[in-house]
Amino acid sequence: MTKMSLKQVLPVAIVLAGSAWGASAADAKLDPKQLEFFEKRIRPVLASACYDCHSTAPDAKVKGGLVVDSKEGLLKGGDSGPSVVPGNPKKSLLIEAVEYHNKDLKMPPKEDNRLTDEQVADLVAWVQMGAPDPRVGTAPAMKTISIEESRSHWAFQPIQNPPVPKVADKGGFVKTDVDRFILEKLKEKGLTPSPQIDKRSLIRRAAYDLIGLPPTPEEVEDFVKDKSPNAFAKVVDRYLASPRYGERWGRHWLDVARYADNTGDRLNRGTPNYPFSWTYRDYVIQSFNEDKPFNQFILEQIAADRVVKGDDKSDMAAMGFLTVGKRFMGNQEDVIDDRIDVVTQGFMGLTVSCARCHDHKFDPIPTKDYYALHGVFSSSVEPEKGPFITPPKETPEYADFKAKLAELEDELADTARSEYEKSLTQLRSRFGEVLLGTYQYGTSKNNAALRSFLREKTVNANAYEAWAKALKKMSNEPGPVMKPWFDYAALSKDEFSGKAAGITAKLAKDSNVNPLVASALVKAEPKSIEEVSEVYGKLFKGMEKAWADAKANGVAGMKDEYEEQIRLVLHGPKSPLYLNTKDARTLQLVGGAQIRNFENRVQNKIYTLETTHPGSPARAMVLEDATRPRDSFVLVRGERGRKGDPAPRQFLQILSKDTPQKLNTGSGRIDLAEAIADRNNPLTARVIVNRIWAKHFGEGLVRTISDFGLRAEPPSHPELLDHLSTWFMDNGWSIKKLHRYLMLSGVYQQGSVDSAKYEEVDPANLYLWKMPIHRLDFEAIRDTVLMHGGNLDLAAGGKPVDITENPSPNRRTVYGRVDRFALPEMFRTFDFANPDMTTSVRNPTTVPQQALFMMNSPFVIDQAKLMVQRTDFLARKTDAEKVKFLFQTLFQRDPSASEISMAQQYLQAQAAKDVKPVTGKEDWSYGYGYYDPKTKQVRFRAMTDNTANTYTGGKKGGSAYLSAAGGMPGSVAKFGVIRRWTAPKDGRIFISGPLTHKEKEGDGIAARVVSSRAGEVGAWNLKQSRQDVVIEHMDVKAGDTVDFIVDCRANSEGDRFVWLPVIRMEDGPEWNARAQFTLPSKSKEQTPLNSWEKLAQALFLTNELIYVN
Amino acid sequence: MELKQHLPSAADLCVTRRQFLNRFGMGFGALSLGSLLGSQFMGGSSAQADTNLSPLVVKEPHFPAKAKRVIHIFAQGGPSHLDTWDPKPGLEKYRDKDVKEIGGVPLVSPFKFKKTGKSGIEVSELFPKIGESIDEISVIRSMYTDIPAHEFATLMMNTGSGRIVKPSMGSWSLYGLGSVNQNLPGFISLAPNGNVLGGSSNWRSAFLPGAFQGTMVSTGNMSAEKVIENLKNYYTPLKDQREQLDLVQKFNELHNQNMKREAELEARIQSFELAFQMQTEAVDAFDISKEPDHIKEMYGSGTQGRQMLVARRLVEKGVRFVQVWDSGWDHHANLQSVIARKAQDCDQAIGALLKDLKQRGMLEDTLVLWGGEFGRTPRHDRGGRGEPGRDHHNRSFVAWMAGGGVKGGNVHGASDEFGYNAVEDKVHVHDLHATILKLLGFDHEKLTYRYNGRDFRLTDVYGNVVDDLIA
Repeated sequence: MTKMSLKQVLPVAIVLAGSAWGASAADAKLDPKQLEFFEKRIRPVLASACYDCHSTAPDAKVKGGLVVDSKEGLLKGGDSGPSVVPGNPKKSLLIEAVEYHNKDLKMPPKEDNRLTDEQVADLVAWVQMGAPDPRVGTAPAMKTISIEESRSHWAFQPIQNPPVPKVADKGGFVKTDVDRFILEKLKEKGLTPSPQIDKRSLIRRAAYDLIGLPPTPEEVEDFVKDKSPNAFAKVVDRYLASPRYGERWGRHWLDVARYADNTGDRLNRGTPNYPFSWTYRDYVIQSFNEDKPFNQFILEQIAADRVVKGDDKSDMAAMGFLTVGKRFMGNQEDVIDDRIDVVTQGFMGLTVSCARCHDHKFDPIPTKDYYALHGVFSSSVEPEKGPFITPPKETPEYADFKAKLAELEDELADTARSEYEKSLTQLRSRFGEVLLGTYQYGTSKNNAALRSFLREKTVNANAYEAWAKALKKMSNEPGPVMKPWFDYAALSKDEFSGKAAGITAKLAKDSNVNPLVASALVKAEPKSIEEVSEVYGKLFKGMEKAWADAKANGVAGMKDEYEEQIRLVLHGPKSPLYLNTKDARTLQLVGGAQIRNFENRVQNKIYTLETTHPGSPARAMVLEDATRPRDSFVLVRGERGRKGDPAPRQFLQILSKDTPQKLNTGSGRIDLAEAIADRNNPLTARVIVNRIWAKHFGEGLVRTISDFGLRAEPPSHPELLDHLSTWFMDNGWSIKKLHRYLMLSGVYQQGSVDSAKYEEVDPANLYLWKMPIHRLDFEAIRDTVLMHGGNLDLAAGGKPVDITENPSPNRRTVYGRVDRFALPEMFRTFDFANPDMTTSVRNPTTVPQQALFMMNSPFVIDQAKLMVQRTDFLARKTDAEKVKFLFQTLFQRDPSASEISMAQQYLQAQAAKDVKPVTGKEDWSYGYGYYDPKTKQVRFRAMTDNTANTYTGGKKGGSAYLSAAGGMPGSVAKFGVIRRWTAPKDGRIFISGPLTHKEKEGDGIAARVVSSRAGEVGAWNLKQSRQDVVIEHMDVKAGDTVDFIVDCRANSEGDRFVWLPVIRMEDGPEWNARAQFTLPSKSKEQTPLNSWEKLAQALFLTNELIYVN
Repeated sequence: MELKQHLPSAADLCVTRRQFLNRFGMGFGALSLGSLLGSQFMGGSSAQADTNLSPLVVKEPHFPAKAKRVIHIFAQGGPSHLDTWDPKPGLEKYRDKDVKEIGGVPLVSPFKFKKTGKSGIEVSELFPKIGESIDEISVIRSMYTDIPAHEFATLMMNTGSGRIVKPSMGSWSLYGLGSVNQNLPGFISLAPNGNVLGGSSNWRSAFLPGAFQGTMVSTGNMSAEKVIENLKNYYTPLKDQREQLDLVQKFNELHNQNMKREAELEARIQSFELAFQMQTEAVDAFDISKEPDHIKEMYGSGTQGRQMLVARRLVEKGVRFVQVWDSGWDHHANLQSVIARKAQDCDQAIGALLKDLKQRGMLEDTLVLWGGEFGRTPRHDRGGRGEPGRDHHNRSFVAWMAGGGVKGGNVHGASDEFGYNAVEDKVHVHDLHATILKLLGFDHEKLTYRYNGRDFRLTDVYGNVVDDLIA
């Protein structure tokens, strides 16, 4: 095709052949003929086929960063490099794309629009002639962000220590320097801060901020009474010192660290747990509690393996920061990407992972920077077992754990070995096919035709590759068995038929050739390589069989020397099949899916054992430096196998002055950690200070908390941000000190008063003219409800608990298991952090499912019930006092008079509905059986079946039943129905109550009262009559039973009866069989809440509980 | 963020906090849901502080939507295109021959195809009932995807990403459009036992807020209480709960007065009212016993009949996106008998769904999508035991769409003579997603969500709208 079209343009090409090609030539004045060619042949094609997606026109797109509507655009190219190399069509991506040979680069992308052969040829010719192009215009600058130009971006500027503004403060607002920065801006905008908030609200704000729990009424009263100037400082210090503080702020950091307790993968219907993810969670909590300097916190999380010294290895758990992420079904590139992302966003507010496939579109992060960090993480490996947090003690639990673990590991090893053997055996029988494959397709499995061949011959492609490479080596020293094969294989297809016979003819005389092989080949007289491979295939198959028989007889090899030679090709140490069985990967590849599935299954069992066994010693989830750290290459468009330039391990260019710092101590992680924790890094302190500010004030000084790049919103108070960053570093990177500094400010302690006027000036409250109200997050809501129920379990640390269970464990929510694979509904409903990627801000939503949880979940209802069972609640004497208690505890304030009266009205209205609890019902039981006068014992079997209002006799009992008022016996006398009372305590009882039988049919009923202590105490036969059953003065001990038995006598017709016994004890209590009759509840309906319980729950539902101002 | 330019911002919804207060200062109860439940996600970070209203408010898309709701019938397992919607009578001449192009001996489809409807599209005898609606359908015979592995391809079809957890198609739809019925989840996934390949990743909202998450409903044991957690209170009768809520709202009103009526507080108050209504209305949506007998008979009593009928009830009640799982299309062996049984289960149900939507006037703005995660090989599956079957195949498969602005009686694209490679007008999964979003009124490149400094979209950096599928 090309030939013909080339002819057409040949005259032009010849005319131009004398000029110099290249960019400089193209810059010179264009030859009119070139121009004509361009205008007629090239421009129309580019315009119709390419401009839609690759031009600067306003409604066009710029895909792949490439525009082709200007000369510059074409020469500069897009993400993949220059489109046109003048004079060299082979190197021009434009040509490659339109030729449609590269399946990954076909343009235009729709087959329909593919250029005609003639158009392609025109383009080739045009490039060949130097791509003369009269078009002017510039390529869009958006593609690459200049690093040099970006240096002026505020976030990349060194952190300053700006002078504290001098600002007049008439209102007594200023408490710390922070306030002067704030006040200055407010004044500029004509705003004033809100007045100081009341003390009760302030301590509530401080408690939720620092520990995620409400203050206790005592804490509130202490603070209200404390008139000293440092009263609030004492409050802040107390909460900072509380172990609850680390649980609150540790959780904020766990959002950043995309913490979860499993991998997010799904293997063999299980999702592998991280048995020790919790060690990282506990490390984080503890680090906050001990106020670990933040720079140290950075070093440990990225490179604890290098910085944790001494015997105490517990801080090794820090590296969970890198390792608790998703595992992407084992895709290592994605795992590395995840780690780069969490490090760069988490510590520096930069989205470096955007540069995985192309230079960052908005930030000065070239792809090369990404792969520089890629090298660091690809040079870091996870050991099979992490180090112990503390060396395990030889306890019985630990011994049991070890035994169980060893069992699983043996199982794994045995099965892997036998599966491997099985697959090797199968492979040996495929030897002929492999030989043929190597002749036809070479050694690399990356060849579609080969793969299809292998599929057909059912040869494992991975095994084939390992094996073909070994064969290739063998060709240097083929040995007597394989020599003929290599001789034949040296022939090309065309010469085979001519020369094969010559090789065959020499075989018989060649002493270097195994005679068995020789004779087989001579006999076959192969005409093609296929036939040769068949001969070999047969020989080896035959040998496999012979060897199997011989082996069964316990011999070490074949007796016959020549047979042994053949056997050794398959089984000997030099066999190409003798793959390295110690290499787990090869083993897996060869063993295929069976081994992998099995391993996954057992590995999951091991994870489960490590997760759940009480003797399982905690290990840290660490990374280690690889023995041979290596730089990575840029992968063009992030695609494997498209290697670009080498990317030496070094720090980000934008954060480096001249030459970026090398990251090459081991993997380079320690260097990376140090570069991040460096005081001169302009981002690190700003980012963490901003995170902490945002948690206190609802929004950051920089509102794009995880993005400090060129598209970030500029800080509302740039000087304050720098002041705080400097202050923070000067104060030993202490987060606790920073909290204190911020919270003791006037801006923190101001009220949340709304102002219509200010709302117009600064609707987003950017300048902090008030403290915004905020809603409790998931953890704080659940912990608060638990605390008010009086049940919050303050145990710290350890393995996660499943808080979705009912009843829910009473641990703080931070200890709940985070299931990344299937994040429970409850977590999602309350906007829990996305555990798949680093989260800086949770997006709070208001959806009815949250309301349903508060209204209907057994969890909230249980806690409401428990709250009004608290002894401190019950100690309040009057209803008004009780209402006060609820308000004080829940809202840290007294109720107003109208609130008390609203509550009382509600209580009164609801009281009528309160179900009086029926006591004594548990003393009754219902069964069938009979009285045996000989033993004076009752044969009693509980009735297990029931309808909506009766117990029934089940299959055996026919129509027998017991109801509240009476019942009907079974059709034989031994199937009497029995209502049994069990004495709960000692005492003297009186029994009374009418017994009635009305029916005409049959012979009536027999009734008796039997005591377990005294035997039968009364018996009556009734037919259509009524009997007042009275038993006076009977002494019982706790546990004694009294049975009310009715049977059918001889005839089982018409036996329904009514019997309403009442038992009275001398000292007062009374049991009424009818009133206390209860059936086992089959429905989920629960005893309704009483009025107080409903009131307590109502208060749980209010906005006031959930909002902090 | 991008969306700001193309979707109404909070300001457009008349709900900046100041305006809100001026306009709706009369307190809760006087507000229509639509006006109260604005979104805080649409307005970018600076507007975020202005509103704090429901994320599920109904939103206008970029341009008028042809489809207002979606039923995605997911035939999971990789249904054979060659036996269903891509007839290859030409394979007959290769019967029992080794065909290099397909890497083996072809399995000639044992099923007959018949020209059907006005359009005369050839419909497999497996699908007589669906065939009755063929003139409403666009059959895509040139689908392809990246990898022929179930889990990867299943996630790919549902989220546009095989490995990294990304928001599902339904979540994006809900994010873009909101939901008209606040008493039901806006995105519901139905499966007979609630357990499908890839699990919740298929209906996750990933980094989109939790409100856009799909809700899986096990249709084997279907009740509204199982669908929506905490839907029923087992302690307090509704009447008493109403009284309790009245008290709560009285306290809230006092609290609000102190707080000068923050819009956020109002929204939470309203969410309790919604929750209260939900308790009764959601139960009704899943109760197919309320359907008249002739409708129940039309759908049939099988699993799919039940699922399709529920799906129709749900979209009728305003659920934005319903996914119906029809797993079990992985036919490595015994293709002829197994696929026939499989098709029997769903043909009547899907046929009924299309007709029922049509007769209710809903088909024109309800998009029905049928398809699996990939197709199957034209050759015998060598691994299969028993009678012949087909192996996984990603280079060519089929999907069809109906209603919701889709061109009816239309065949788009073609595979080669063997059905091995899609060759004409190829449609990648990303292209299908781009087209579906277009039908829903979106420019797929502009329906984005800013997360961690990056604008994400359903089609990642890919996708071309297939205009030929749109009426």
